[in-house]
Amino acid sequence: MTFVVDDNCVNCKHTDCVSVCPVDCFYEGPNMLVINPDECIDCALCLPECPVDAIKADDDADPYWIEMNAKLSYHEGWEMIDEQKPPMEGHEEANKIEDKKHLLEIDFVQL
Amino acid sequence: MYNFKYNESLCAFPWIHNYSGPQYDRQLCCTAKPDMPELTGTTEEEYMNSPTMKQIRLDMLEGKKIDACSNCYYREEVGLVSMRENSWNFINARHHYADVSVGKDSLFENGDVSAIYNDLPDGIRTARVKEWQEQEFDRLVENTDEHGHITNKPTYYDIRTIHCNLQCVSCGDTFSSEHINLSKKMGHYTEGFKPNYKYEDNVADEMIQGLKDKRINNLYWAGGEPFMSPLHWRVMEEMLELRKRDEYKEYIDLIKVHYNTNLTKSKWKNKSIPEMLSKYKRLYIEASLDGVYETLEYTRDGAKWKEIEKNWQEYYNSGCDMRITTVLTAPVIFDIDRYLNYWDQYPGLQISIHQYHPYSGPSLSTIFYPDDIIIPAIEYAIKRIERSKTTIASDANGKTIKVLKEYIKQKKENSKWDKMENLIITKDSHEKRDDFHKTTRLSNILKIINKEAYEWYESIPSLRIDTNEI
Repeated sequence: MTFVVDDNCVNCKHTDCVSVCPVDCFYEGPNMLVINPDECIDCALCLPECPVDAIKADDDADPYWIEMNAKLSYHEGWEMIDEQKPPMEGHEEANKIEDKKHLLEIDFVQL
Repeated sequence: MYNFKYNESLCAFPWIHNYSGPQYDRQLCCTAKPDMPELTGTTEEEYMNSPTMKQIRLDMLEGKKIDACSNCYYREEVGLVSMRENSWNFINARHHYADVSVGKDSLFENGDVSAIYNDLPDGIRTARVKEWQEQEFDRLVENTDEHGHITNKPTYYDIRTIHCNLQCVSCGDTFSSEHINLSKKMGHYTEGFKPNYKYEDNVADEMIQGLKDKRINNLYWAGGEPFMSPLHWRVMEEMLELRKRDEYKEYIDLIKVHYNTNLTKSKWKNKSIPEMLSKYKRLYIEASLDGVYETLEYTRDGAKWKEIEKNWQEYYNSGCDMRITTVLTAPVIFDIDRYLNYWDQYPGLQISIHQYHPYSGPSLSTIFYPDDIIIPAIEYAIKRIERSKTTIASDANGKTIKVLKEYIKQKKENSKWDKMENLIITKDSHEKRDDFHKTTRLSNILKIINKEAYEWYESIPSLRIDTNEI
């Protein structure tokens, strides 16, 4: 079993989870975090930390997000994150949207 | 040196032992009462020379009983081996291991000498402990001043971290990160313990210094699940680094490393754990497996038997010194045939069977079940244990059997433990917990392993009505 970040994280990125992860298995994209399933050790410490319940056990997670966590943790530009930072601007509004799959940004904008 | 007088109630641990619990709590040892909240999260020096520890040392030297040590006093009173007696095993690994083996010197190289110590008949063991105390007393207190302050550092570390992937029925949120999550789900609280990796790094630094000083002779890793702890791997990897140097090789090879694992993990960061552990010379692993098949999946909630079985094979075939430890809970008692039939495939395998306190925990306790179901099951379990092909012959296991026999005797004479309201409260609490089980429910395993217990369990709602009417 592993843990999975789902679309509750999109446009929020509270990042409370990264400060308790013992193996630094969170990866950060433009507007969400994911968990690398090859690195997660199933300790569950991150679950109670997320203020928007974006972390699920894979038994309870949408298969789409299981797949996306596995893919995006190796996606170009998604870097390991181990230090907490402030949530994204507008996270309160984003938290009111129920399905945020379509809002996920995969590639970083090249400046 | 201050002129301290030797007395027979001394324990060596306040001088040599460093216990750090899963939530950075401090105790004199794993069996002591956890009554040092002011020392949680302290450094080694802050802990060892805290006012609390200094006073404990002075009190012990005056022959006073220590409140936190009541468990040891109780065990000694009823004739069981206490941690206090065992503490004298750990002062000087080489000297005592040779001494304890009572002429069986080859066991010093290859065997677990503490097991031999436990096997000594009561009278001889008591005499031996006294002899060690007298021999080691001066050395123990030579760096102790009149205020109880010591300058020596620990030689035996017992380190537990919170990381765990299981929600064992016998465990709770002080020992397992999965339980913290479960407690939140069950509405017990909204915020749980958070690990402090700076503190854990500091513990690792202190231990690595102990290795560099060639001071540490015993390491005990438990949890949580030690194979999921980054602190643990940092220290163990440093041991191997030091071993590459000629001046450390002999010392590192003498360190005794003892694990207690749930056996759910065979890889750490994509490396094989059994392969990594095979590099340590005096290392043994106790797999805490309370049951087999569905029984294990119930007691060790979240574990999958097929994975455990696969991991067991991997560890066993890698040459790791593997042992089994189980608590003889009611589900294990009911399923004793499958349990021992499974482990009898490994003749000589060492199994430690620990007694379960009859008053502890829902559903695992023998008091949860009516006498006419549990007594025949215990009587059968005792006979089955006595004819096992595994090595269940140590004194500690013999004592477990003795305790069970005494329990049955008392049950037959007086069944006060089976008060109906007790059963109902227990079942309510158990069912609430069962709603969150990841794998197997109690009713499912009872259905498989004991028809009578299952039927009784299913009949409890009617018992409740009868009680209310009464």
